[in-house]
Amino acid sequence: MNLFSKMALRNLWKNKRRSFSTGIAILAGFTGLCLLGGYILRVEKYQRVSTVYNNHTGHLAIYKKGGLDGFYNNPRKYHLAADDLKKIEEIVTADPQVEFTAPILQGMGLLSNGNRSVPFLAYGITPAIEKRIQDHEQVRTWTHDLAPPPAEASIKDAVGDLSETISITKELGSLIGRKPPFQNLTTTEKDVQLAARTFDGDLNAVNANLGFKHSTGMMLSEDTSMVAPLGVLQSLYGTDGATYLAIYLNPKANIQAALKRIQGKIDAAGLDYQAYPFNDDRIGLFYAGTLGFLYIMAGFFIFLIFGAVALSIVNSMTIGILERVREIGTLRAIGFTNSQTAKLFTIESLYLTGISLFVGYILAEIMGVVINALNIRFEPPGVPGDMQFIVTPETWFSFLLAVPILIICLISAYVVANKLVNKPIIQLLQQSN
Amino acid sequence: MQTNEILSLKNVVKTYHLGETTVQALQGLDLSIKKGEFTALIGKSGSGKSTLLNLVGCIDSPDAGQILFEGKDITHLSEVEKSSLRNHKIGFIFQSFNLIPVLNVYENVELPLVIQTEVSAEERRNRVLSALKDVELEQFAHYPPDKLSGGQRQRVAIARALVTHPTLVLADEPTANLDSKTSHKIIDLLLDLNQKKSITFLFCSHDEKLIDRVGRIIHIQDGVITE
Repeated sequence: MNLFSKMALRNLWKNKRRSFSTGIAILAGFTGLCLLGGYILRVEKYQRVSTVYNNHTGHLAIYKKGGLDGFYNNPRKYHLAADDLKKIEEIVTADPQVEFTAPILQGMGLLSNGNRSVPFLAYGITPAIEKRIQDHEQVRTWTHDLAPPPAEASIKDAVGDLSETISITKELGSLIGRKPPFQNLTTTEKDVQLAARTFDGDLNAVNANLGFKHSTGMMLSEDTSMVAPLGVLQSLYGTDGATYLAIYLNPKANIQAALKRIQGKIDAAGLDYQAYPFNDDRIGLFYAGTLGFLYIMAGFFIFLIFGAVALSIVNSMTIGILERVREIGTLRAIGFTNSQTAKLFTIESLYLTGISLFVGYILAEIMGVVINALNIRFEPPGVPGDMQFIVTPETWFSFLLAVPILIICLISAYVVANKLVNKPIIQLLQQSN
Repeated sequence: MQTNEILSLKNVVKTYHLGETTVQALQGLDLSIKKGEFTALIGKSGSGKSTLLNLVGCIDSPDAGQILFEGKDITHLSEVEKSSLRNHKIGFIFQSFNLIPVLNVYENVELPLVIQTEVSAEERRNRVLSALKDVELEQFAHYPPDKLSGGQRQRVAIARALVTHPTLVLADEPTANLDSKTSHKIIDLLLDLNQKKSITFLFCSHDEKLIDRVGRIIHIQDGVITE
């Protein structure tokens, strides 16, 4: 260890109380940021998985060009017919980052129990793919709160596309007087009818059975959401196609790169389809809105904490330098330049900040484990039911936060030290004497 | 200019402004110091002797006049050049020792060499040990300054001043904080180093009892040499 480092560490030790209080300010701020970051990362993962998997958006959704805006007004024109789905699947399944695909048919109509009818917004899915989605490691890791209790059946258990058994939410069930678990209802209670206009504009209705329950994870859609086997909805709307093809990528894939690659292949093939990422606010509004709000809030806290850390360092450095005027004068007299003298104080700040950040990181990790073990449950706004408050501080994110804090501390220390040591030597020596 | 002249002050003026009061510390002072001389500046408090040392040591600047060090005008050097001159050519011994409290004896002596990048670690170590030997403090190398007596601390400060092999050592009242016996020992040590190493010493004191063995004595009064 060189002499500058020895001086820095010994001065920190000599002024234990001040070093401790400054270190605590940095440590507390950093720990708070790590935990806030851990919470935001957790929410991001939850929203991402919820949007991509639970709500069937996929990492990418491929529509017929104009279909995103035009499908509901003119489904005949903008739906993806069976031939379209085949062409797109041929292109995307060749991509090494594509895990699997799922044709999704969206539609609206009326759900009736014979006495009462309520509107629904339905997703037509393939039960085998739904099983793959719900058993997916990402879903089990991040959105297990949305999974139905083990006693309740899920649409993934439906047998084939032509099964008439559909899944509704608890709220939609209550609107037609049915309570979960739906698989335990009597045959008569399970019987429902779905009515809607076909893609050709005709009125149509099909029979279905209640049997499964799901949750969208969003309060907004919880009283209208239905998930049905693709065949049931295709029969209802008189089509063999889908609204879009959901593309599920390897969870570690670069989504923007995959989007560019797949769109490039579609365009190169001269096909009239458009791919959208799940975080496009036109298809992932809840994700984009929630994360946008959280990022702004986090930015505000980061700004506040960075400011507090900088002020702590400035304060500590100022007091430290004022207490050591004679030392500074002596150093200058024996040949140290202003910047070499300021460097000594900056090294002190480097050690103090580095140690505080390291301890803060360890503390954040420990607090994360403790918080998660406590199983604290809460009801986030816009989310049905309660969920566990989980924070997942991640090393890479903590490192990203630590770097600017370290830079701010070093700049603050150097600027203050350079300003305060930059006095005539005679004045520094006379002040001490 | 004589070839063996290390320091020359020509018509040096220094004025301090303390509020509305103006103090003329040096009034057109002329002085010449030869290499290897051991010179004592004697004068009462406020006579201008410390001001003279500060100007020679480049830790203050004159208002007028010229200061030549080894034949070179040092009055208009940049701050970095002055720092380098202080580090390489001039040693300082302060009245209050001015040791760094968090460094031990060895490290205090080593400090001026740390910023001399041209000196290797091994050379640095040799020079520090040699300087400690010169002041007979080898066995105290790892002591913190606060465990030493006043005389020992001043000897550490002397070792620190000598470790860079300066051509001029400036000592501002080096014995003012020491008892009479220790003061004589310190002066003896400085004289011994002056003779053995041919280092030029310029020190100031208001204690005339200490100067009976000094080669050259310069009296200063009201900013003017009265010798």
